[in-house]
Amino acid sequence: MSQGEQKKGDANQPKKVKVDAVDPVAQDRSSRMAEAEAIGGPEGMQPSPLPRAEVPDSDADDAEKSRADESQGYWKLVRRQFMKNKPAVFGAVIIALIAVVALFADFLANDRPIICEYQDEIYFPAIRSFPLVSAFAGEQVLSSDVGWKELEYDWAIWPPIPYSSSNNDLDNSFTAPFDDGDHSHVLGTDQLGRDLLAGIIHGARISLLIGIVAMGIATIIGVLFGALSGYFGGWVDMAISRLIELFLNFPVFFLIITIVAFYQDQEPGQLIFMIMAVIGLTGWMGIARLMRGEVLRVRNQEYVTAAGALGFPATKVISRHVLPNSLAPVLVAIAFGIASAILTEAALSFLGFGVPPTIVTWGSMLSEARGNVYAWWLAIFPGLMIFLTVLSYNLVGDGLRDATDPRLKI
Amino acid sequence: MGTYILKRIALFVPTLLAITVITFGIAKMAPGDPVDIILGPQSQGGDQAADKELNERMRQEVREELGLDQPVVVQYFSWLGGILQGDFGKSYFDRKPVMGKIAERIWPTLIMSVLSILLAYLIAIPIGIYSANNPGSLGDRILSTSLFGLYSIPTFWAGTLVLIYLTNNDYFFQLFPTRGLHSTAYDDSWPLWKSTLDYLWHLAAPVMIYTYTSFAFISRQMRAGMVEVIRQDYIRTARAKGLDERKVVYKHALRNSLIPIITLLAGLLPALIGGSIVVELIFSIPGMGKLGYEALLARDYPVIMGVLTLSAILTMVGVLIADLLYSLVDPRIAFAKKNA
Repeated sequence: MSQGEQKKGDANQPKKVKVDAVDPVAQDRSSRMAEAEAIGGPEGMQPSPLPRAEVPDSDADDAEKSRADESQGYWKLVRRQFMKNKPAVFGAVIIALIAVVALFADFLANDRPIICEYQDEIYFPAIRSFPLVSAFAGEQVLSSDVGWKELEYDWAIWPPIPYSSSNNDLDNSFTAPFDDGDHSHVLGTDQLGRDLLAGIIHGARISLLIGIVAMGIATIIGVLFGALSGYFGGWVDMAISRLIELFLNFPVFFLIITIVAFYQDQEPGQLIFMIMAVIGLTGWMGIARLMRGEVLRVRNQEYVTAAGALGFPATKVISRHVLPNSLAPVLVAIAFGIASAILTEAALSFLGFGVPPTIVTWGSMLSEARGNVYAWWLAIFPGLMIFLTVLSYNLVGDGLRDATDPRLKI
Repeated sequence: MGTYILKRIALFVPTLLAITVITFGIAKMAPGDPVDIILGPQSQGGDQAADKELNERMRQEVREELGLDQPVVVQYFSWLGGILQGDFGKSYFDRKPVMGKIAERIWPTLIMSVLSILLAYLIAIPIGIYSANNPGSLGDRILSTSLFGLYSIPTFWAGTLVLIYLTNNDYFFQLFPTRGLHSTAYDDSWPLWKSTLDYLWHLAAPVMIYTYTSFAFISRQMRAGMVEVIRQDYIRTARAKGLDERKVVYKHALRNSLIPIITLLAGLLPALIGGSIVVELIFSIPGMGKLGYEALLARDYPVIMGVLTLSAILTMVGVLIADLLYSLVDPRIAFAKKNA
């Protein structure tokens, strides 16, 4: 199958040269190659075990279309393999669900109505935290001692969970699930009387955001370093490899917690960004290593040599020809990396060094359980959410790996 | 072989220097003045000119005593010089040498790490062997699925659950002690077997929590490695000549598939040392992780730097040992690296 992958690379190359080339020689060469390809047909060479969904258009005149189809073939195959993997699909569905919850957190759990009519005016109080539209939230209606819940509306639509994650309610501290007067705290409350379910819903935002941004940073660094190291070799490779080794052998969690602890007094927004940056800056080694290996593998392929021989600068050769063909293992590493970044952030919050205490996260809710053994709901639910999220990303990573690299299958 | 070891050790030195630079840099770049941490922020300024001057003189004295009035480079080298002589400076708070504080705390962490690695290998290797020899069987699938699930459980969650449900009688029953390394009734006159048992009982839960994530990691590698080996010609030969299947697996295949497992040690160590902070905090074990945590809360820079540097050095030494072991059992490694 790795053979097939390389072929796919070969098939890709002429099209891209054709698109970018200003060099008439390249133009000529690539169109000749395209012709050869359309006739000879890498179609037949592709050892695809699966029947294709659509019959490809093999008209020689329509070579462009045929090639586009060909380059999609690999990912189509990957998707099909992935879809067959039930646990991986389950993981992807869970991630999508959590993402939806995170996106609509303000409309799912809030201490203000989604939409209401008050004194003949219609307001959308839940959109307060959204930029651009926050003017319609009607914040001016409130006086300092009256909250949204005390107003007398003409009519109002409330979110399903009528609490926000930061609602302190000291009368209801440590309420067990459904144990308060009107049974509205579905999962109970914490020490400050904050609703647990609201916290879990809003915590999804922080968790996903930190996981994705941190891994984004790590991916950029990792891909860059790995590609440079693999492509240029020599002292560049030597230096980057040493750096990878250094960070790989470092008890990174100690490093992260130390840095985050030192900057604990920063503004909440800055601190969150700090955490993302630190997790990203210490999590790129795996990707760099993979990338380096992939680039080394691809570098000596004929189409890369050809691109170099055609006089393209290294940056273009790497970004156009080497990177796309090294993408699969990096994707796998990203999925696992997000899982581990989410875990790291939760552990930081659990130890009390993470996101500022005014912002509720899964980790910080769980850490409250440590000191209050009887509040079992604080231990179960936030932990379950972290577990579910991490498991889902791991399942997706595993599924991607099986789908993109069938060599691993036994 | 000898040159390979020398080369590895030679590479160790710059890595070590890099670690000290990173540690020192982080501590130096941290916001806030260490003098404030020692004297308290109220030592800044003062109501009257005399107070102000007195305070300033006091701050200056502290600064000089800690060497903070010198250029950063000088500070770094005097700190580095201290480390080379085994001196990590003194704690800002109780003025005790950092090295002594760490020496007091390092044993529980080391013992837990070693126990955890032993346990992980003892459990994961047989699982890996079984899975490799019965690929795709129901047992294989159940084992790998549950280990994968286990791998995704956050240690701090599992630790909290054990702490809540198994260390008191509120929900189920008390299976493990709540905190620390010794029972409250412990005294020095206990016979050795009793104190050892007590120690192990206290370590049982933390070590389990410390270990379970490694199972999936090791057993997967073991399975993959063994499957690879089983496909080799010499295994087919062994089978073809009618050798007992058990002998084929445990004598011929196992030895060679154990080799890559040794290097996993290098990957496990940093995670273990880093993870000690969480486990030690949950179970109140006075180890190095907890020392680091307390120092972080108090912003005790010398202790933080000491713990960070020493834990990194510990991991590096572990990785070095794993590498050397690897080249010992598989001479091709040293040879290939020498030629590279």
